[in-house]
Amino acid sequence: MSWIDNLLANPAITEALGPAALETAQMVGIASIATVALGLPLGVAMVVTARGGLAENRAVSAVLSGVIVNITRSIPYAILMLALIPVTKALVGTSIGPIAASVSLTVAAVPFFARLVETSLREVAPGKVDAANAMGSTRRQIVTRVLLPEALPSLIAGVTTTVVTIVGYSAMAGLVGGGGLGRLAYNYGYQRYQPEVMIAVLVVLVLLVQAVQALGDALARRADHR
Amino acid sequence: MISVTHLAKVYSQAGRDIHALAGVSLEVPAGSVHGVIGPSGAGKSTLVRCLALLDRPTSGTVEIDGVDLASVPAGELRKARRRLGVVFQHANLFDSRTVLDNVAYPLEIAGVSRRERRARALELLGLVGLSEAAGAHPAQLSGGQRQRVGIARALATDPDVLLCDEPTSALDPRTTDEILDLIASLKQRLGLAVLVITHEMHVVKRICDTVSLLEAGAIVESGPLADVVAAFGSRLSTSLLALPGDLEDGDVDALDALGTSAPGHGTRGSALDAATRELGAAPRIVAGTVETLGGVTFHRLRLVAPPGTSPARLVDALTTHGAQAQEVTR
Repeated sequence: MSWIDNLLANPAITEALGPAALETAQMVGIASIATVALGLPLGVAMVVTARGGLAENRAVSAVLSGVIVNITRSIPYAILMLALIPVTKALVGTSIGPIAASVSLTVAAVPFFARLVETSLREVAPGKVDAANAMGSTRRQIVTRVLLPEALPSLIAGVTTTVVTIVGYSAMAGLVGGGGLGRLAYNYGYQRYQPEVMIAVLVVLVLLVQAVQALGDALARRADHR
Repeated sequence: MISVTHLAKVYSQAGRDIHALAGVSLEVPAGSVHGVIGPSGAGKSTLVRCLALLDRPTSGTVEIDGVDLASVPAGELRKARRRLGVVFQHANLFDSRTVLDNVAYPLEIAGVSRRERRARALELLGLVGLSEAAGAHPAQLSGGQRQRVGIARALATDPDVLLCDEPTSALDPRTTDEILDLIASLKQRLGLAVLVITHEMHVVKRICDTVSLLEAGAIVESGPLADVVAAFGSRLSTSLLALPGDLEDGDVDALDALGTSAPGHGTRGSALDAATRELGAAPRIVAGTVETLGGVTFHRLRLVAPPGTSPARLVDALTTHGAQAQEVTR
């Protein structure tokens, strides 16, 4: 059982794996919360200002959907995180560490999530909006009391997908100073060629993604009354 | 009471003007049901959307108790809408809310306190016979139950007018009758003016006091149910008293007759009896339908004159005895 001995004797696993996992959890957590906080209103704004929307506005719609979302989404994350280093420095004072990494993670994930929000809200049957209008709802009431609650199961599924995507990006962010599991796998698993570290990181990542997905599915099921 | 005058809606599509509604006028007094019937493409959907102010009409007025909804500013429109309840074909309930919270929604957005709206919603659910479903979600209900909830929700703000858009078109025949009877009883109990837009003749027969035929965006026939049916040869009369089955091709001498009798008597004591006595022989009945509509029993018959007489004589005999008749032209 030499590989188990290897595993337990390797400080990269016994001492570094725990903190690295926490760093990953930290950057994913911060980025996820920031993404929902920014992406939800952006997605709502895209739906509301779209053609035939509650507050149709072609100019705003073109800027939101065409410029912000499409441009950001067309930049590969590996390039985006490097390009954002000056912005990150200005924002959090450093470009190193999990908190700095959450800046680029958020910038990459917000447009992605906003598109998912847009799709979810569009799936709400137009008849429900008609009914809400016919009963004298304000536009704000239609968004907060009809569109968002009716789309909730789908929105939760969107958050789950987004968090899983952020976990994936976080490994890349680790390579350029973000820390976390990505850096551990790269430094020890790849550069020092310690396969047991690589495997340990993979196991932790798979468990993390499974946990996120299971939690997301359970919450979506609970919210779904259809 | 709702009164609609010269309602018009013009859409511009691919650079061309489409007159979806070309000046529709109608009036529904409190405590009565008016049906607007028409084939698909006649403008029913546009009419509903304009009446519910989901679309602004191009011109014309939609007055509820003297207030013109079509001309009030957007801010006041929300308040004015409370006098008009809308029932949709597919109920359009909110799946995320319980039945109780669905019915309470109009009160919630009107700022009514939680306790008050709960009490009112329960009362409305009682009115539509669904008290026990208060805590359920719409997905757990049948189509008919969902429509009951839709009706309760439409009544939450105590409207004077109930606008029903194809309220039973998604329901089976038995549930259809239950919903129609509910609407009729609510009209009675609450003194509602009910406007039903539908393509089903059955809806008109079962609950309407007055009816209009909508075609190509305009009302082409209109009036109290019995009057409209009595207008021999009119489109509504022919459709409401449709003859069953295919008619034999050989009957070139057939004639159409429309008679009336007291409800419950069938064709007994009608012009047909009298004409038979006069001619000394009974006409052959090729097809026929007998229905009591608006308190009058109508019989529409496709007849062939007995041997030894002529279609013209039969027409004469029938008309002399109070029926309307004419030879069928092919």
